[in-house]
Amino acid sequence: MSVARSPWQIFWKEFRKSPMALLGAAVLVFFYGSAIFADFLAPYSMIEQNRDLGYLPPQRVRLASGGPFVYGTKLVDPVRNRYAEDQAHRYPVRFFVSGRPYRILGLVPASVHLFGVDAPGGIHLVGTDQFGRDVLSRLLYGARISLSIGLVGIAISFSIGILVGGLSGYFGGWIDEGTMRVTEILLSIPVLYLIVALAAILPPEMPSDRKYFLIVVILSFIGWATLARIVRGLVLSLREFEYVTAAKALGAGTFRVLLRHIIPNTLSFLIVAATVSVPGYILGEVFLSFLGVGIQEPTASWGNMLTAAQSVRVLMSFPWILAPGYLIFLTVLAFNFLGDGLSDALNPRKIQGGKGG
Amino acid sequence: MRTFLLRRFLNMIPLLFGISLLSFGVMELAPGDFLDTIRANDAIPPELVESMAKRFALDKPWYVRYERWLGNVVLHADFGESFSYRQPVFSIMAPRLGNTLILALAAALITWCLAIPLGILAAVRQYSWWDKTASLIASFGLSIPEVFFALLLLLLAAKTGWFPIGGMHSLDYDDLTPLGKALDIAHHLVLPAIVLGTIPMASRMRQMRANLLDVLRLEYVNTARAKGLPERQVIWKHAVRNALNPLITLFGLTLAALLSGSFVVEVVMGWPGLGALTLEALRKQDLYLVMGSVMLASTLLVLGNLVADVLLAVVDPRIRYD
Amino acid sequence: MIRVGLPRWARLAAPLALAVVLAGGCGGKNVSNAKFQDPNPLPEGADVVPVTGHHGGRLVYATISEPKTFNPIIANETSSTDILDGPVYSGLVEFDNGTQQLKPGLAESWERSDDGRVWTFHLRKGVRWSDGEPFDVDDVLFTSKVVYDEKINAAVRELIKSEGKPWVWEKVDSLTLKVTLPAPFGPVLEVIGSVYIVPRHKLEAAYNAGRFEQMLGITTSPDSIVGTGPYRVTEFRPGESCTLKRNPHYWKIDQNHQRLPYFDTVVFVACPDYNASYLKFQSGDSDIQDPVRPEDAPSLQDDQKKGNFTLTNLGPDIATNFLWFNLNPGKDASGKPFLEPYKLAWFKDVRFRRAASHAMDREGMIKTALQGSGYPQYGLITTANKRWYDPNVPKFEYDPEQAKTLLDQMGLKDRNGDGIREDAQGHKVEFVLYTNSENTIRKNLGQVAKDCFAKVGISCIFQPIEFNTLISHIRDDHKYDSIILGLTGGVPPDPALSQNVYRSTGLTHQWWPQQKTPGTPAEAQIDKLMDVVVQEPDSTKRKAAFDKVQEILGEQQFTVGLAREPLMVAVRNRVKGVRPSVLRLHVMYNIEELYEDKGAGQVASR
Repeated sequence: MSVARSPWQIFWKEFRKSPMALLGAAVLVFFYGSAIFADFLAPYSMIEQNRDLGYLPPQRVRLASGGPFVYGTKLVDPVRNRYAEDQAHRYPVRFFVSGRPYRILGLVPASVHLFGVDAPGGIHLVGTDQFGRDVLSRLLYGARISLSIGLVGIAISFSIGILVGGLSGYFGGWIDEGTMRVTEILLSIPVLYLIVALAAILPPEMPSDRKYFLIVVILSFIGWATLARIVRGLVLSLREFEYVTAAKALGAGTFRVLLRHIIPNTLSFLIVAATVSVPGYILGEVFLSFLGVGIQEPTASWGNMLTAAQSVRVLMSFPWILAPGYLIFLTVLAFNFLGDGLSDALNPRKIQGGKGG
Repeated sequence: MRTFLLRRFLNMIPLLFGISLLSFGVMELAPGDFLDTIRANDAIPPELVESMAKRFALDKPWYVRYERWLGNVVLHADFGESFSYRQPVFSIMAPRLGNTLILALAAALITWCLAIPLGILAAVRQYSWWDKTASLIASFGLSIPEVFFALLLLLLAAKTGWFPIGGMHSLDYDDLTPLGKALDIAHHLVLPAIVLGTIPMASRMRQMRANLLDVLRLEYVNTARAKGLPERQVIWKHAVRNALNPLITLFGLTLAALLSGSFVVEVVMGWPGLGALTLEALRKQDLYLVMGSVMLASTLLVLGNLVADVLLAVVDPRIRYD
Repeated sequence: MIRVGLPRWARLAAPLALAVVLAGGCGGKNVSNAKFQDPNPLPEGADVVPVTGHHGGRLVYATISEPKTFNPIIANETSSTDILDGPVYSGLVEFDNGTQQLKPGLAESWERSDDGRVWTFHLRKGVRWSDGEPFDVDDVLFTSKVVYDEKINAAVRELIKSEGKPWVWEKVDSLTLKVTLPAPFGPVLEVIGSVYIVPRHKLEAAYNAGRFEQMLGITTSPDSIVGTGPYRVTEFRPGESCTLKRNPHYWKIDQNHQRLPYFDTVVFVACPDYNASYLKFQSGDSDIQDPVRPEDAPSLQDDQKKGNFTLTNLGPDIATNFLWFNLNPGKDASGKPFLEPYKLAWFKDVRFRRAASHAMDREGMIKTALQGSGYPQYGLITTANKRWYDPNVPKFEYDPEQAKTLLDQMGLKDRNGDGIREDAQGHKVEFVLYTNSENTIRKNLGQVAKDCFAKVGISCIFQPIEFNTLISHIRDDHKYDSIILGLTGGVPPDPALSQNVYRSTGLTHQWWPQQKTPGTPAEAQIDKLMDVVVQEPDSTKRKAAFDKVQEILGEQQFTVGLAREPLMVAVRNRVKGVRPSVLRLHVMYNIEELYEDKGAGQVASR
């Protein structure tokens, strides 16, 4: 027998075993960090157009004794958007340059940016899009929307799902009957139909931030029902466990039992479920953009950036426009790895010493 | 069991009613109506639009339309007429449904034929090179946005010429022998079925792996091993069978989900199915066509659920229904 | 007929033999060595067309839509009319998209009375429906009866009326038709030509039973779709393709007195979008790419030799993209004005609208939104409309300085230094610009317009919204500031047929529809001129009046023109007889004259 360890220690020991999960976690920390500090990292704003510089391929940063620099660009073929380096002009890459103002974490005013070059040069490490907007900057700002949509979405759907499922499972009777009928109806309409139909009623004229919120609400509206049913099932089975019966016998109130004894026991399940359901929201945003009802330009989201890549010409000639596709893929992959790792590490058999099963 | 079935069937009636009310309501909440596109066409005089509005009862409040629609459905099994095709919705949907069914079956075939063997292999050789590759494939399948995947495959088809670009029949279809016809459709089916089948394949594979791992930990497997049965027999005869049960029950559900999940594939790859039709109908607000399609998809899903429950009851004696 | 090449699935098994298979199987051509033999006698009144060609072969046309009905009377979407109007059904008069001139159709000649109100049409002798039944005046009368029937939603009904009253169609004899108009009307022939004649012998019973609208739906058996056009529908696969075969009774013949059309089979393949149709064209599966998107033009340009096709630039499209400001001073039911009075005051000022035109960087739009090739637009009628275009329309070209001057003159100045102008009352010069979110090019134009407005100190909130919602803003609640939309213009592109756009009473008089009395002197003048355009039988006078309309519209800038992509089409070299036109259907409108040049053939390899 080993020394008794806290569940957290057990979890960490298990979690560490899975390199893919660690990698996933690291990628996510990096992505979310970049999104938070997008203002600082992005060399340009997401809407600045440079109409003479559409579909500029990613620029190469060159090294010289004086530090890194980029060459200027000149348009060789305006119809095919072909560019050549203008070696007559060198623009050194400067760090911590002053630029457009922003607020750190929405609070502290600042105007320093990680890097940039002096006008009239430009630095576009991931190239530019059709309007000559900097793709890297748009990816960074777009990450804010695409990455947060999942978190906000699960926050909403889990709150509703846990509450409804918990109450329904705990009380049973007509509450249970009623809520389960509602979830049944929701679950019986195929998800995509529901998304498409709900998207059609999005009030059209609204600023992107409110549209964003409504999109999250729509996706959560679909997500809560499954969760409510699962939580209900868990609660139903937990309700019969001895310790719950004991707590009840000791005169603990309904909510107390629910909050102190039942919900915590579903926690490991909920954490894993949350992790693996984030990708659903990210992909949901892509699907809405595919339908043309997602976040609208010029506000960037990975979904609408990827939609812009849906043309043969872009696929063949301007592959860097596909960058959001790879990032979505990586993010979803990272969440799945993390989810696997968590579910292995949080396996109740391991943490609770084989109870249940 | 019989009472259970009966109850479930009766249960479907209020359920489908609820679905119809919710979907109708959602459709009606959307701003504008079918005639807006026609109104915008300056070649079509407004008088005509007005007379069409009257014909389709679009000048009446929504509950009047719903009541009429429901009445016709219940009394005459008449799901209404499509505004743009001017034909009963089911006559429009029927050939499309057949095509979507073919696609869904092909995708289901890919799903199950790959998911189960790969899942078993991954579980039996846990942490092996096999397991890692399989789980990588699964993660890949679950992570790639469908639109993106479909586009990439279409591009592959265009570049290599190995597969046709969209559609379901080649132009010479009618001149082919029956075998040739089947092969022609199969050839067109490959790419869309891959796109549609990838996600369920990945998730079923993971489920299979997890289930089998769970079963392999159970005591009776150990007992069987202890009895000296060869490992092959332990796995195939005892473990796999039990691990498979929960998956098999999902078959109906998977199929129903595939049937209604084919929007993206059908639209991007030009598969002439129900999804593409429905999406167009939704965009045009062709009310009854959408309703027909939603009701069809929902009914299939509900039936799939029912079949899953029944199968679960059959294979798992621990579950009782009263 | 002998099929050459392997069935297409065989490619799967033999990717190595790809080139071989492709050479033979490209477009799945049927090679016919038999000389063309006409099973049916030629009609006495056959139309001799000055073309020659060879019979046989198959033409594949990839579209992004498919027919919703085979009933030409109720068809009101191009997806249906592209196949029906012309290829399957004919009218008494035809319009040649290439020359933009009228020519005889089922009627070989006609006369007009001096007052322009009585028209006599002489039908061709010996014309037969595609099922072999004879065609005569009774079919025309039946068609007119159906079209005028209020219970049937016939798209052309209001067109063949004068002052709201139907014309009187009478049979003189079995091949002579007399049409009497209650009031004079300019484009009688254009309008008559858009009435496609349907077979009485097939449809009268259904019509009498009140089932006309349900006839000829997409589930109809192809045998019962009977027309007088060069082709008949033989197979329809929903969501995939519509196959047409030669009408063996067609009434046009070539120079050598061989019956048209030449191609045995024409297939309209429905693709989900332009990406798919482009890929199909590039891989040799279709013969025509129409239209070619600006973004696909460069690669098609490069591949012409390899793919054995020709890319043709037809110049500016007849369709337009423009921006307009809401000028509707009305109020809603609760007494609230549709748009804030101070905004209306800016928009009503012609200097504001001209400033907006000066602000538009049309070259920049072409560079980005139109992917490098396109034409700036100023008026509603483009050079593509050969007959009606007026070169003297004033142009308020890109000139941000001039725009700023005009705005300054209006008293719109940046009073608080935030870079955005304010009016005298301190209202920020800011408005919302809508467009329909389904149209990528308009969305892109809007992105640029927003940027252009910002450069002259105007804050423009650009918001693409769903088409349906957009239309209900224009038509129903009138609550919007400004919109980018386009006009496509029908065929024939006669302004009398789109008078609703120009007349102040019109429903599509976008900036202020359905005015009781003309809101501005300019619009009153336009209304008067449109009376001439619609009623005057003399075409020179009509043209002069419409020129004036265009000039007034240009002066007033009720609509601010933006930019439009060039219209381009790509056609395989083996398809001959092509006379591409800027008018829809750009390549297929003279479908009966197209033929296959067997020598000019094949796609060499991918």
